[in-house]
Amino acid sequence: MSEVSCTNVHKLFGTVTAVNDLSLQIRAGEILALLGPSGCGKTTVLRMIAGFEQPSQGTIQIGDQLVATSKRSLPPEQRQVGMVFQHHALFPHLDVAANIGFGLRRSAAVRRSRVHDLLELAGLSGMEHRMPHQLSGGQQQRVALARALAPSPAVLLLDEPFSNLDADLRITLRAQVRTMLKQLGTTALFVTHDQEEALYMGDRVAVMREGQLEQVCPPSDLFLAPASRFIAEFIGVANFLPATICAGCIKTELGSLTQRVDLRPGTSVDLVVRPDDLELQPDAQGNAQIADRVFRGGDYLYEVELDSKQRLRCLCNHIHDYPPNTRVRIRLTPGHALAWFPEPAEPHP
Amino acid sequence: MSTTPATPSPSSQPLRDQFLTLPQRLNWSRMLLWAMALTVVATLLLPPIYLTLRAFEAGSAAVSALTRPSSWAIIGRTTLLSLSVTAASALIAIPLAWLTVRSDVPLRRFWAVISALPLVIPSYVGAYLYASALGPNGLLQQLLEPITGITRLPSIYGFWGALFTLTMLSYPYMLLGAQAALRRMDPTLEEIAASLGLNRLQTFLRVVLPQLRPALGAGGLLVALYVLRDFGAVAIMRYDTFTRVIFQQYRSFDRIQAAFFALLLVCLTLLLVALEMKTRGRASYDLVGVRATRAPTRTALGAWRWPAFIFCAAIASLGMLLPATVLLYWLGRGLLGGESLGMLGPATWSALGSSVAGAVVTVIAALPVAMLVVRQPGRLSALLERLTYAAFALPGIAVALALVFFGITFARWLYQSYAMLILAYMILFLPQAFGALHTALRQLHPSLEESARSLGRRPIQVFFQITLPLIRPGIIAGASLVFLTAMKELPATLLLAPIGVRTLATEVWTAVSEAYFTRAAAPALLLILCSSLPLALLSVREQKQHL
Repeated sequence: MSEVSCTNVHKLFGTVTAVNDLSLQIRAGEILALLGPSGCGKTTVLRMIAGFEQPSQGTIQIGDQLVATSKRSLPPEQRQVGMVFQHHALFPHLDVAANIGFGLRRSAAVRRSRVHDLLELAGLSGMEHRMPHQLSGGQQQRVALARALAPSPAVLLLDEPFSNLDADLRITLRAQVRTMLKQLGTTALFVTHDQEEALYMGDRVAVMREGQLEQVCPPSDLFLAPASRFIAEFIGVANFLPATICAGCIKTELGSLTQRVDLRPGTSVDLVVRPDDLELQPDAQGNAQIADRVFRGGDYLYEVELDSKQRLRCLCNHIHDYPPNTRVRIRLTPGHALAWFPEPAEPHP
Repeated sequence: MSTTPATPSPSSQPLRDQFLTLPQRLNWSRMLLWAMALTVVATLLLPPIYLTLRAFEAGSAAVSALTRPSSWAIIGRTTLLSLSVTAASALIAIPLAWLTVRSDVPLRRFWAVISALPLVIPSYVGAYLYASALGPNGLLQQLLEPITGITRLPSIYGFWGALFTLTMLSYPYMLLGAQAALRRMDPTLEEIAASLGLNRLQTFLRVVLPQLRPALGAGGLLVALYVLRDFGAVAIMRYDTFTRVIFQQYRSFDRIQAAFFALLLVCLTLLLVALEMKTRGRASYDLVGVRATRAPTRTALGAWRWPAFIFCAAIASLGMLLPATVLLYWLGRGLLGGESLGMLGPATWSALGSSVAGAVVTVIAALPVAMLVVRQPGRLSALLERLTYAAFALPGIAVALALVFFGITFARWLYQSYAMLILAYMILFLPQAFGALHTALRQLHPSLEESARSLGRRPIQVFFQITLPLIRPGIIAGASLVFLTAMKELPATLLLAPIGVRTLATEVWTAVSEAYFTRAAAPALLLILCSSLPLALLSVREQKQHL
C-alpha cells in the first residue's frame, strides 16, 4: 500500500516545464529520498504534495484521499502533511514548547504530554522554554522536525533539511533523524541534491533530472544497475569503455568478460566500469600509461591512457605512488556483471 | 456533511474525489487582499486624476494659461530654484562628506553628527528662523545697528533667501549618501591609482568622484524633489514658485487655474521620481557585493587643516547654531514678554490626535499593498508597488487642493472634517508606511507562513498568529514615521483641517505670516523635538547594527 501517489503529474510555470509526467509512489513507512541536481524540479514535487503548488496535470493522492487535481487542490492545512524546511522556519516569537505544540489542536494536558514525548525523542528535554535564537543550528532543526511530527502527519516532507549545517553536524544529525523516523515508522519524502545523503537516508532513492524521473530503486541498485548514462555518471565515478558483444561474453580492449547480454553478437556498447573494477600494476610491457593522479587520503585515483588513447579512472590504495608517465598494466576484474549502454547515436569525435 | 464519518473510510472517498473534480473554488483570502490593495492604490490615484479632470474641464482656458508668459515665469522660477539648491547642496555636501570621512580635520566626528541635524527642522520653521534673524529689522540688523549705524540690510526675501534656506535645510540628503558611499569605498582602488602615478587631486577627480556619482545623483534628486514639494520656505521667503502660487490662487478662488498649476507641479515631481527610481536601481546594482574590507584611510590635511576646520564650523553655525540660537532667543523673549504657553494645549492635542489617527489609518492601508507586493509577485503587483512609490512625488498642496475640490463637489459631508484630513495624510504618507512594511515582510521567510499552513492553520489564522506578530517592529517603525511626518505637514493641514482647528504647524504658520516671531517659537520648538525623534531612533539602531 502506498501512502502518497503522484500520477502523471505535470507542472508548468508560465511556459517552463518544471515537472514532466512524473509518477511516483511513497510506500507506507518508508523514507524515499528524492535526489537530483538543483533546478531539476524536486522541490516543486514536494511543494505540490504539501499543497503550496497545484499540478497543471495529473493527480496526487495521500492515503486514500485525492488531494490535488489540475482543477482543485485541497489547501495545505487540510492535508495532514508535515514540513521541514532548509531554513528550519521556527516561529521566532514562540518558545520551543509552543513551536512543537503549534500544530496540536487538543486539550492542554494532551498537548503537554505530546510535546514532552517529542522533546524527549528529539533529545531536547529541558529546553522547552528556550527561544529559537538560543538554540544551536542542529537543535533548531530537531525542533523543526519535532514540530512537524507532533500532529502525526500522514507523510513528512523534508526539503534539504541539512544543507544549512556544517559537514560534521550534518552527519550526526542525519543519523539522529533517520533513527527518529524509523522509530516512529514515519512515511517520509526527503529531498536533497547531495547523493551521499540520499544514499544514507533513503530506503529507496528516486533520481530526477530536468523535471523527469530517471530511476526509483534501492540505493545499491543505482550503482549496480543504473537505468541511464546520466545516473551512471551522476552517482559515483564512471568510465565508459567501448565493447563488442559476442556469444556469452563481452569483448573490450582490456580482454573479454564472461557476461550474457541479450543483444545480437557484434553489437557495439559502452560498458560502465567503476574505478574499483580495474586493477593497476606497473609493467614496462603494459597496455597503458599514467596520465595524472589525485591523492585522496585513503587512496589514489589515477587517470590512465590506454594505447587506444581511451582514458580511464582507476583506484589504487595509498601504499604505492606511481608518478605520471609510468608504464602500467590495467586489468578488468569486476567480480560482478557490469552495466552497459548502447553506443550514443553520434560517434565520438 | 454531518453524516460523513470523522475518520476517512472508503465510503467517504468518492465524495472527496467528486469535490476535487469541481472547478477551483474562489480563494476568498486572496480576493480580499487584492480588493483591499486595489482600493488603496485607487485612492492614491484620486488626486492626480481629479486634478487632470478639473484642468481639462477648463479646456481652452487651460491651454491659454499655458501660453501666458506668467505661467512660464513660474515654471522657470521653480526649475531655477530647484536646480540652484541642488547645485549649492552639492558644493557643500561633497567637501563636507570627504572631510568628515576621509580627512583628519579637527573635531571630525562632531562635524559628522552635527552636519546631518538640519534634517529635523521643518522648512517653514527654518525659513521663519532665517527670516527673523537676517531679514529687515531682524536680529542681525538690531545687533549691527548700534555698532555700525546700518539701518538697512539687503533684503533676504526672494530668490536668494529661498535658495539659502532650502540649501541649508536639504544639503544633508546629499551629505548622508556621499558619506555612506565614501565609507563603503574600497581604499585599494585609490592605492592602485597612486601606484599608477596619479597625485591626490587626480585620484579624487578620476577615481573617488566617479564612484560617488550614484550616491550624489540619488541625493541630488531627493534635494530637487524637496524643493519642488516645499511650500513653507518659499511662502515665507515670498518667492513665487508653483506651491506658493497655487496657494494664492486657492485663496483668491481661482480654482481652475490652481488645479492646472497643481497638475503641472505633479508632472514635474513625477518626472523627478521616475529619474530617482532609475538611478536607485542602477546605484544598488553598482554596489552589489562591494564592501570596503578595510576602514577608510584618512588623508592628513597639513596646512589645510585649519581652513577645513573653519569651513566645517561655518556650515554648522549657519545650519544648526544660528537657527537654534534664534529659536531660543524668540522663546526667551516671548516668555519674558508674557507670551502664554497655555494656548498651545489645544493645538498640540489636535496635532497629536490627527497625526495618530493618520498613522494608524496609513499603516492599515499600506499593509494589504505590501503583503500583495511581497507574497504575490507578478505584473499587477509590481505595478501597484511602482504607483505607491510614485505617490511619494505628490506635493502636499496638490493633494490637499484635489481633496478640497473633490469634497466640495462630491462629498460635502467629508469636506472640512477630520476624516478628510486623515485621508490626505494617508495619500501623502503611504509610501513611507509601505516602505517600512515592505522591508519587514521581505525579511519574513515565506517558509514560516507555509509551516503554519501545513500545521493546520487557515490563511487568516496564519496572518494573525504568525505574520502580524513577526512584522510588529516594521509596523511600529512605519507608524512612527507617518506620525512624525504628519505632525509637521503644513499645506494639507492648512487647507483641510476643520474650521477653527489649529495644530502646531498652523500655529507657527499663522504667527509667522503675521510677523509674531515670539509666538511662533514654542510650537516650532515642539515640532523640532518631534522630528528629532525618528532621526535619533534611526542612529541608535544603526549604531546597534555596527556593533
